Amino acid sequence: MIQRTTGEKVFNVFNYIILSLLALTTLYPFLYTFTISISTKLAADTVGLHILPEWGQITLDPYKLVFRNPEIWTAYGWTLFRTVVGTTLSVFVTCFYGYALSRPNLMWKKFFSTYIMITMIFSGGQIPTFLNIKDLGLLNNVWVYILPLLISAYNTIVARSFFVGIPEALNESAKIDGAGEFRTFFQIIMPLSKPIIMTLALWIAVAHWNSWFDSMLYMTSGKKIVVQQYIQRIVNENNTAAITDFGAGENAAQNLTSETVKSASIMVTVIPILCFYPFVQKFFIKGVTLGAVKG
Amino acid sequence: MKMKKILSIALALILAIGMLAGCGGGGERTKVDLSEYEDDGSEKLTIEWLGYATLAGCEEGTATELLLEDKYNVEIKPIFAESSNYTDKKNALLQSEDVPDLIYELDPMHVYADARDEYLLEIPYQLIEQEAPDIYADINEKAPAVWAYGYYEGGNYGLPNMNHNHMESKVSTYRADWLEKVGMEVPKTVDELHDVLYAFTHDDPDGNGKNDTYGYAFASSHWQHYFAEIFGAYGILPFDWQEANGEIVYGGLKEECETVLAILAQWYKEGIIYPAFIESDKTGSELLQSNIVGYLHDMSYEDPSSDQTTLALLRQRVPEADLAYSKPIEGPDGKFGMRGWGYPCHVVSFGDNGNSPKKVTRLLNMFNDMFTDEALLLEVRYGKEGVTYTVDKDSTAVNIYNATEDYVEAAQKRLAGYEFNVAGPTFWSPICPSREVYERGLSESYKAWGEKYKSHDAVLTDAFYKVDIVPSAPTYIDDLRNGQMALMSEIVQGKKAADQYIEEFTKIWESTGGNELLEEAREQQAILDEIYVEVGIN
Amino acid sequence: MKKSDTVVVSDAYLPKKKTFGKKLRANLPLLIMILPGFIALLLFNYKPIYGLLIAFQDYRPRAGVFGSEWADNFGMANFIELFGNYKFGPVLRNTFTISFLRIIFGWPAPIILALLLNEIRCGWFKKLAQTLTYIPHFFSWVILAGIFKMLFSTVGPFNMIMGMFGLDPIPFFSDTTAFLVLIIITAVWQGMGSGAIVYIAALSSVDESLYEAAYIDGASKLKQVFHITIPSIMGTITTVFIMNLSGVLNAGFDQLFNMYNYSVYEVADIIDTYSYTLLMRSEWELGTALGFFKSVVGLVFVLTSNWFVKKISKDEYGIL
Repeated sequence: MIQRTTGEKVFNVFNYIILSLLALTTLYPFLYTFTISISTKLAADTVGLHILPEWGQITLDPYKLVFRNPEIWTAYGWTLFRTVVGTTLSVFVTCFYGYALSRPNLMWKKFFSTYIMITMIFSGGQIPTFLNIKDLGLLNNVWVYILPLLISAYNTIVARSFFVGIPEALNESAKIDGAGEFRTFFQIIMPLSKPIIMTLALWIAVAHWNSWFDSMLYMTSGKKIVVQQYIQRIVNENNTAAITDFGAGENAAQNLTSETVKSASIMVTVIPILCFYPFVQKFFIKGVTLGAVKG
Repeated sequence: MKMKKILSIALALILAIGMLAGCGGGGERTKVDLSEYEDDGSEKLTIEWLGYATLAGCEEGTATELLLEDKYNVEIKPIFAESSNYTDKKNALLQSEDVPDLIYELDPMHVYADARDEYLLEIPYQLIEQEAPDIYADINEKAPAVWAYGYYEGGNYGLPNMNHNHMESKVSTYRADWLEKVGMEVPKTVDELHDVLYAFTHDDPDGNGKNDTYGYAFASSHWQHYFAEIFGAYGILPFDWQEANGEIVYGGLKEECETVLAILAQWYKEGIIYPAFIESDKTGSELLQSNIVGYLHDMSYEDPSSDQTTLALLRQRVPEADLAYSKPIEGPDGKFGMRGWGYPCHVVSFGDNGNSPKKVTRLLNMFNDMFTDEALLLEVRYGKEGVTYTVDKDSTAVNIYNATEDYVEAAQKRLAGYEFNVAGPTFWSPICPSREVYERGLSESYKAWGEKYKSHDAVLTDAFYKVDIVPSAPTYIDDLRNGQMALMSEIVQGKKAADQYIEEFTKIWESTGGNELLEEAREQQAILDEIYVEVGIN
Repeated sequence: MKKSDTVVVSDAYLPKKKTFGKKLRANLPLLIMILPGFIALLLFNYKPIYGLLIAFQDYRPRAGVFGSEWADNFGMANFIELFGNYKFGPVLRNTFTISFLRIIFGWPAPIILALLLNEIRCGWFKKLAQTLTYIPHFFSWVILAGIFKMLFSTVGPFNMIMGMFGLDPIPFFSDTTAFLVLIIITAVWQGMGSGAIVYIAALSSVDESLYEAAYIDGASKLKQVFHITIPSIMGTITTVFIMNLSGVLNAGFDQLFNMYNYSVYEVADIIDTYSYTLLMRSEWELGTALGFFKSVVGLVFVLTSNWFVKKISKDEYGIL
């Protein structure tokens, strides 16, 4: 076993401590939200830290409210659709563009670079964008969840900065072996780029999973909305109901406050992500390799 | 450099496109010809209906829709929008030239903006008088100032609706068990209130040996509640237009504000006011429930048979807890009360989209029927008696209409288009019910409670009901209010002296368009007078 | 090689420079790769960009952009009104203040976090810590603001602990400085886990053998970090830095909107809040002009920082 200096050992200990403390602080909001989401009205209204639920003051009513309608499953369906299909397509389109930009021999490179950068900085505005979507026939069409988001400047430029690190020499040796550009890309470049591909996939998938504004603005049919918008709706209705005398009566029948409903809605969004996250994570967190053996 | 070249080409292109844009005018405002509005009901009209955003998620073809289509010979295309982002959705529809026939407008500034942008039809008062006479008479009788809500540059652009619920008066509440513990009575004046709150803070009324209770708290993010009853006791609505000596003034500029602030500063110093009053997210009733405060200035009726009311939940923790109610405390001149929204609610407007103006007449007739025909209104809002709702005269809830088992799920009600609301506006009946119908829907229990504790004099309203009726208000009022509340809170916390208030606030007022607002507010009265002439009020 | 083996070739036998057509054909696969993105951007980003013209017009929505007249003063009337507005100075000042603070503290934090995580040898701890630090990113400010308002309230746990040590409570929500401190700390906290991911991904591509070689050469851990780790991800660092500068006038609307109150309004009112109210009031020209202004400032920052980075790194890094 190779000895480390004292300094390094001390640093190591501090590192673990700092990261543990940091992790605990990030754990707290999660626990808080989870606790509130299963708290009764009385417990939720009480001022306190809410790290753990109060014994005897637990209710599943907020979740029952969220899952009350079968509509939520249709909404989940569309969210899955856009997350899977949208992410896959976007990752390819983004990587293609970013990779092409990274090759030194690309013609008109400055033009293509500028072309995409401008879109990151200038935008036509909410209404012209809406008019454009309408013009393209994408109103109330589920492809509006995917097509406008196929490529974004930020993701592309980050992808490019990764691909730049892959030397042109690889392309050349592949060419000598008789491989075309596409084959090179898929068989050599992509496998080497797993970290960036998974990072992009993660960013894009999370964006799809969380989005609701496009659903709200472009969809007229309730059967095509995504789950985030559906949940927003539940939270809003609950808020409105709570304000009127008459709606409050309904809330009274169920053990709900706007706080608990909001919290349940967040849990319903976050927990599926956390379930899938470990599968993605292993692609960009280097596992235990040579370094570990030594110490 | 290539990039420079590209940028300059792009710029040139955009400018070139723009040159073409410079030409061309546009249509003119549709002139009103009353004969076009004549409607004998025989033509089947199509109506695109963007109603009050309370039925998001509902689909076409509900029972209510079919009822109205059948009865009024119309084909309705409902547009169900979300309540959050309603304005975004509405603007998207309007600007893509998908202008609906019926447009529900929320605040005066939206009517103003849409009328200015030429999306709304002008609706002469004469037409309303003709086709919706009962609604017309109701507005003229109860609150003609409400006509100002549809007004834009000399014309009327909608039918305002009035919510009688907003005139429900204010009741204050106290922890009766705490009062007993500290040996005091329900206070009647501001000074008495001070003594009670002082005792609540310092005399350990919850008997737990800890100094953890306070007298006064409220949801401070709502400017309507900002120490409302204390200001009210001195006749002040600090964030509204008020009438003083025959002219319009801004409540926050009244001299008496300094008196009130001095009192509040004293209270804060004595520890009576909840220190987190500026940032607290908790509503007053939540703090009451948490056993932190013993007084709430504005409390609504609670159903004694429910186990989810503030009192019931409080009793789960403190079995001997009890609440006492009273009208708000009085000031030295016997004044009392708190801010209420008053009669105005929203505005129902009609889109200028080239479709037949007969639709306006048809809809006005429809709304008038719903206003006068209680059976129709109940069917639109509640469905069929015995099937979807029951009438429970002995109910202790606020109103007597309850859902039957089959319809108890709010979702089911919504999917059928029923909204179970007897007071305010709904998607399918945007005009609120009349006072009589509203009162018939209230339970005896609620009415008895009202008799005992309410006093309609306790509702103080803005001179025009909403402070943002003046055209420039949306531009300035948020900044003005924020600056005002920040200054007032500094004084309450003792960072500034109370007698500096008028001086400091005047500075804020003048730099935030206050004088412009005041001028417009004074003109507003002249505008109202013109309107009164047109609608036939002396 | 023997001298006699060398061959002298005249110019006529050297391959001619590639003609344009040949170059195009050689580039074709790459251009095909660019195509989908190009078309998508054209259809969804460039087509609506004419909306920017509204900022220069006396816009009549019913006439549309191509039917409205130009604004006075060579189309600049809206900008003149915008810049002369009593609100503009304060919101610009607030936006820059908050934005710069966010960049100064928020830009290094994810990098440091990624470096720290990189040094962890215990696999499960590394993954767990990384996952946990990422979680706050998923919580909307609607909920987080509620939590912080409770934690740092005048009567909340933090100030209670202060009281136990005999210190005065810190009024995070009525003192503008304390409020800004809280905003920055919580903003950095929320974003660092998510921001670290791209650096972690970059670090995972670093060749382990480089560390081994350095170790054998006797380099300390610190030296390894500065001479191997950081340079390896310098491309990512500079790229992210420049890109984030394009949003220099985004000071975190969601966070401020949910956490501010009237007492701290004077530092919490930012360009985006102003933009939002303009949109709500159907002030089309001013709203577009404000958006255009934001974009231009962002562009200036991107170009400047890009030039700066290129100069310092002798053209090695930079995105344009």
